[in-house]
Amino acid sequence: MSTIIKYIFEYGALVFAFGLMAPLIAQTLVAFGIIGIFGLSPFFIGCLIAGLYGLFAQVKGRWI
Amino acid sequence: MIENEIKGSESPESLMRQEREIARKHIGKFPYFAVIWAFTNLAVWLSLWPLVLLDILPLWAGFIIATISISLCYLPSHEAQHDIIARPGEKLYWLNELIGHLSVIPLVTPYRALRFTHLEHHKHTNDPDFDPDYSTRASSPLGAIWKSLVDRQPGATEGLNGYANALERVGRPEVVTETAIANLIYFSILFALAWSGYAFEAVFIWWLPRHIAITYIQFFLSWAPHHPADETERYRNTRSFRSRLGNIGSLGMQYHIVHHLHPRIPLYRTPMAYWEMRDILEKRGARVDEL
Repeated sequence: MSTIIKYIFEYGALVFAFGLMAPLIAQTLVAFGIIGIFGLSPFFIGCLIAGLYGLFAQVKGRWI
Repeated sequence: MIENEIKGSESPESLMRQEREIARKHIGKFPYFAVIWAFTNLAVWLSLWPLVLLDILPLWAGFIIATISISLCYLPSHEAQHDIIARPGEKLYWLNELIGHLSVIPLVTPYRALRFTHLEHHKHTNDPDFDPDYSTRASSPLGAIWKSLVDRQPGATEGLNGYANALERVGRPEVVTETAIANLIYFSILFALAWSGYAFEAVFIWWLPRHIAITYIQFFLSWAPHHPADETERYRNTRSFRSRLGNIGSLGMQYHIVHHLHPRIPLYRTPMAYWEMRDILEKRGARVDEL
C-alpha cells in the first residue's frame, strides 16, 4: 500500500497536471469561448498545456 | 529611585511564581468559543459545496468564504492539540479529539500529524535541526510568503513536506501514511470534480483557498511570532508583535509568547494573560518590546 502511495506521489506533478490542470484549462477555454484553435479540441489543448507544464514541474521539482 | 531599584531587583524565583499565578487563573477555562467556532466553521465550508454546485451562491462569493473559512479552521484544532478543550481522562476528552480531527479536514493535514509536529515545534522552537516549523524563517514578510510557497513545491523537502521527517523522528511513521492517504483522498476528490465538469468549483472552493490559508497560517503562526527565529531560549524564541491587521486579523497571534510559555491557556484568554504578565515577562528578558 505504502509503495503504491509513494509511487503516486513520486509522479505527483504529472498526476496533478492531468488530474486537475488539464480539465481546468479545457473548461476555461470553453468558458471564454476559445474553441477550435488549430482545429484542436479544448480537451486536447488542456492536456497538452498541462502535460508540458506538469513535465516541467516534475523535472524541476517546482511549479514556480 | 530606590523604590524602582528594589522593584527591578525582584528575584527570578519571585517573578516565576507571579507569572505562574497569573497563568493558573487562565488555564482550565472551557473554550466555548473554540468549540462553537470549530463546528460552525466546518459547517460553513461544507455548505459551500451544495450552494455553489447548485448555483445558489456565486462561485466568487464561495471562493471568498472558503478562503476565510479554511484560514480559520486550524485554530480550534490547535486548542485541541494542547488538550485545552479537555485533558486525557476527562469526561469531554472525546470532544477535544473530535474537534482536533474535524476542524482541519479542509486543510487536508491530519490532526495527529499537526499535533505531533506542533509539540515538536514547542519542544525545539527555532532549533534548525529539530523544529519542524524552522523552514518558515525568512528575513522579511514578503520573503516569508515566498518561502511558504517554495516549501509546497513538488520537490520541496521542508515545510509541510518536511513534517514526514519529524514524524519519523518521533517514532510515528504510521502518521506519515495517514497524511499520504488524506492527500490521496483530497486529490481524488479534486480530480473527480474536475473531470466531471466542476474544475472551477474544485479550484475555487478548495485548492486555491487552501493554499492561501496555508500561507496565511504559516505567516501568522510560524513566521511573525518567531521572527527572526535566531534564539532558542524559552523567553527569547517567541515574541509579542504588533500586526497591521490587529489581533483578530493575525489569527490571535500577537500574544503568541504567552502561548509558548503557557500552552494550556485558551487562545481567547492570551491577550488578557499577556497584559497581566507583561511587566514580569519584560523583567525576565522576554521579547515584548513591540506591544
